[in-house]
Amino acid sequence: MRTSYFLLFASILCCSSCIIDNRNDNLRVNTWVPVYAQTSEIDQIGVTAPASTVTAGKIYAYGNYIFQNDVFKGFHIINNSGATAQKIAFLKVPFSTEIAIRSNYLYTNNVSDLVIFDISNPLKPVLVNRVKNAFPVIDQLYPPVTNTYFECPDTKKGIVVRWEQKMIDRPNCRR
Amino acid sequence: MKKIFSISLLILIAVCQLRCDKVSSDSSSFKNDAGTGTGGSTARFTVVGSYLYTVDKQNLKVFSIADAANPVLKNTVPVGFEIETIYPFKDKLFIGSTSMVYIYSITNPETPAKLSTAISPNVIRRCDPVIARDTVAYATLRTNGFCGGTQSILAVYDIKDITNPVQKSFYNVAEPYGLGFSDSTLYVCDRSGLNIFGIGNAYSPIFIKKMNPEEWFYDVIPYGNTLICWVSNGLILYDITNRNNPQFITKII
Repeated sequence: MRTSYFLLFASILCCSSCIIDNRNDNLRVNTWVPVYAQTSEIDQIGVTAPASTVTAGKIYAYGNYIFQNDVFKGFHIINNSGATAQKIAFLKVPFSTEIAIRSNYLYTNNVSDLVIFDISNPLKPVLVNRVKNAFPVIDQLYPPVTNTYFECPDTKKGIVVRWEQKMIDRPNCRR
Repeated sequence: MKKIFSISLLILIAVCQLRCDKVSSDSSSFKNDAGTGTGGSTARFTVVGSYLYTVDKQNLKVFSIADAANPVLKNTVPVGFEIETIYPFKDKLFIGSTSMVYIYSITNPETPAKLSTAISPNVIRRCDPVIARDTVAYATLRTNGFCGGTQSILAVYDIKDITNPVQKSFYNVAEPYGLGFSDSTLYVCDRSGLNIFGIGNAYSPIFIKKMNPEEWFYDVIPYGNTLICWVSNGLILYDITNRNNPQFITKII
């Protein structure tokens, strides 16, 4: 039990975080709240016409093509072989952030699943496989900032795909 | 019950550790095997040979992609906390976390083995993408915002002895992000522009100039004579036939 007390003390000392706060005052503050993925959104994978970039994400070069993630939306596919590089298609992969390519196969994350596309025809990537729960979603337990109050994530509500700032009453977690 | 309590607390401690890390990526002159693409220095996925390596917050995972359409999970290696980036360099993986850079050998590709950790004596908490070439590694240590700390730098490590990386020099950079090199030129992303350094003398980068201060640069991939840049609202391409003097080609938004 002594060990437990030590750990309790250590956890309080090193975190000052993630601890349920029992304040009774009503405090409406701008704080971080989790945004959950809806199952219906997760499966909406497909190819569309080129689109404007909303939230520019990670980049990847493959042959004459450049891929740029649009955070949580998918990938802009850019043909860089002509006189001017231009977008040729958009590969919709909800809640994607990562990318790697080998031998005409593109690997990315669809929330926590690893999904694989055949990109032999870069205009029409084809979903060929899915490995469930291969890549744990980042930032599930707390927002990517410290010294802040936030709304505790509720695992029953689904997967936390991002954190947003919102005005809420009495945020119940802190880190 | 006591055990569960202790374990929960341990997890709590772990969860509360540092934030923001990042490592690596090389970019350019990195010679991939046939058919493998090139990522930036802030990647969490990378392909080496017929293996896909991924890093989440804590674990390095190894997938065999010998059968490209059917990845098979071969190994899960606990690395540390707050992992953010992975960068392949020869038969090594540089894995960046908030607090340090972990260097793994993948001589045996399915069983990554930890060789060392690189720590900058200048900065304790930081975000740090890392790249390497020959016997030198470059990392940007960004200490503002989420990352805490007080100093943002470009750090240079001697990795001749891979089991004992030694910081050789550093250069102050306002708010650095990803980085990449081509030949003797190093490109370092900044919240306000792209910094260009000469690395003819690998351990002592020489600042050449800063370009496009109106753009927020996140990462770069030197790709032949093209520099591919991730900026806050899209992508910018430069011609780097003259490595030290990138010429704007186009912006894609």
